[in-house]
Order: sequence, then structure tokens, then C-alpha cells
Amino acid sequence: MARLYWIITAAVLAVAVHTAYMLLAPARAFERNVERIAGEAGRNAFFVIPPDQQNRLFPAFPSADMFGACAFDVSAAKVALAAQMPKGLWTLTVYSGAGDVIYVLNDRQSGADSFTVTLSLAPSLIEMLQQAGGEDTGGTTGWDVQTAKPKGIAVLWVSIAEPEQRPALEAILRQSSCKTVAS
Amino acid sequence: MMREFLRGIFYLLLGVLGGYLSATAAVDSFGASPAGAGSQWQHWDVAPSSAAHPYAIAHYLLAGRFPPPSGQIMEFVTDLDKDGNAIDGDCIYRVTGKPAAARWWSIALPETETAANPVVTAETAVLDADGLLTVTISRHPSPGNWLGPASGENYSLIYAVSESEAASGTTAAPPFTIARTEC
Repeated sequence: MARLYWIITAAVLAVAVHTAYMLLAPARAFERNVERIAGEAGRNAFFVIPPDQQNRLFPAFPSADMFGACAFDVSAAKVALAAQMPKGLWTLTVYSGAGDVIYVLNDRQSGADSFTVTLSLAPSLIEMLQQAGGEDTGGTTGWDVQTAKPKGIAVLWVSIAEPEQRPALEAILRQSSCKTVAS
Repeated sequence: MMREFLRGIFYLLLGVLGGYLSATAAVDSFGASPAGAGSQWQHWDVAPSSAAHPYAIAHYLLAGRFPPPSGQIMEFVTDLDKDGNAIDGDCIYRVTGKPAAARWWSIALPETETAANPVVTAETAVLDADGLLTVTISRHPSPGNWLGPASGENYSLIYAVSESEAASGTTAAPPFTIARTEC
């Protein structure tokens, strides 16, 4: 009887450790990577990911390609990513703090190379019930993205056919901004 | 009394170890599936609707990478040639096939130690008159499409393909075979 008790205890503990590991370890690894690449730029600021970090994070892409990013924190206020993209193939990917992809967009879907994505914290269930008619998320200058977790990162990828083009295209991308906005 | 205590410690440790090992094993295997029947290429389905979603996401995050944006870019990985042998950095391989009719694709060697990722993309590849792609993988430069591993260790190949018809159906499976030509 005592042995059965301990076997059940071990099984329950194994399930708990398995679940805790899956919930915590990947998110922590992602968080460390975000902090590392954000570096001095910090949260709610636009930056171009350094080439050495880019190769490690995105090994399927050529080193000549360009990745811009905004590590956001919407716990206190909304964050607006105003992107200035060069012409050609690009994608926007918004990752939650747990590393899940919560929003994607590319140049064809966007239809514009200059746009704004406003990031905000998703309302809780109680807040949703209290809202009278729901919130209009169809902005006129871009898109609104709501995230269940306050922190995350938006990543912009620009495909560059010729490495010589990079300085000129990077100058365009660096005109992008990321900052908190009044709610 | 002491024996009962030691037995309890043993089962608790067994539970912790079992939970940890089952989680790491699930990340390595549960999220992956072959790209097609008999294919050496593996695909981690990061789509939110996938049953293996948390394990597929964890596969990328625990490796220090960002997951590819589902719906925009699909990734396939292999560390085996067409005969099922590990891809060896000291051998010469020929990758052949007709690239997918996609906007963008790449075949890459993930190299974290070098300044530039060895990558052949839709924009840089040279195809023959029939649209066939041949890529030589060898430590020393080779004419035509060439990828050079930095060391003689075993390595993986990544095939990434973007959106559209190629990334939305079964045709996304890598059309390439990897044959060892010299060792």
C-alpha cells in the first residue's frame, strides 16, 4: 500500500514537473533572447538586430537580410510601431512574451510600406463584459493588435537580394519608430 | 523509519526526473513530423491549431531561436542524406530538385560561429534551363551554387519557404534530395 502511494505521488510529481517545464523554460529562454537583442535600446524602442544575433536567431535567412524589432511592454500604455519598410518582400511577426506568434503581416497583405501597428493589452473577461458595444479595432492608419501578455516583441524581416543594397535599405528601415502612446 | 524516508526521497526524485526527461523528449520528438512519406525532412508545426503547438514552439525557443511565423514561412530540417546517413562536414553532398513555385525560399546551413550564414535563396540561386537546382555542399569552394560548412562535424540543413501556394498545402514539402558524392 505504501509503495502504491509513492508510485502515485511520483507520477503526479512527474506530470507537474513536465507541465512546469513546458510553461516556464521556453518562455524564459525567449525572454533572455529578447533582452539580449534589445540591449541598450530597451523596451518600446525600435532597433535593428545586430548581424551576429541575427544569424543565431534566424539561421534560415541570409546574413545580408535585415531584421528590425521592437521589444514592447504594454503593461502601462499602448505601444505604436510605426514602420517604414523598403519596397519588396518583408514580413512583420508579433511574438507574445511566451514566444507564440500572435500576429503576422507581409508586404502584399499590407498594401503599404508605411503603416502603424498599435499594440495593447487584451481586456480581461470582466473588462470585456463591462464594455458596452465592444471596441473598434479597425484603425484608419494601420492595425491594432491585442496581446494577453504585456511583454513581447515585434520583428520586421526585409529580404535583400543584393548585399550592396543593405545600407540604403537599412536607412529606410531605421526611420521606423516604436513608442508608447496615450490610450 | 529511515528506510521509508529513503524510499520517499527515491520516488520523489524519480518523479522529478521523469517529468523533466519526458518534457525534453517530447520537445525533441512530439512536435516533429516527416514532410512526406519517406521524407528525410522534418517539420515542426508551429500553427496555433496544431496539437503539438507547445512542443513545436519550445523546440525553437529552447534552441535559442525565434519560431518561424506560421502562415508566412514554413521550415523543414534534416540531418540525414537520402540514404539515411548523418550529413558529415567532411563529405561532399549534392542537393538537387526543382524549387517550389514560391515567392521566396532558402536552403541554409545553420552556422552560429561564422560571420555569415551559408545560404542559397530564390534570389541568389542559379537554376539550369529546366528549372532544376543543384547545390554543392563542401568545405572547399565549388562552382555554381555552393554551401560551405565551417567545420567537419555533422550538421543539419534548413529549407524555408514563404507563403502563397507553397506554404499553404502539401506542395510545401521540400522537393530536394541530398546525395553524398564524395567522402
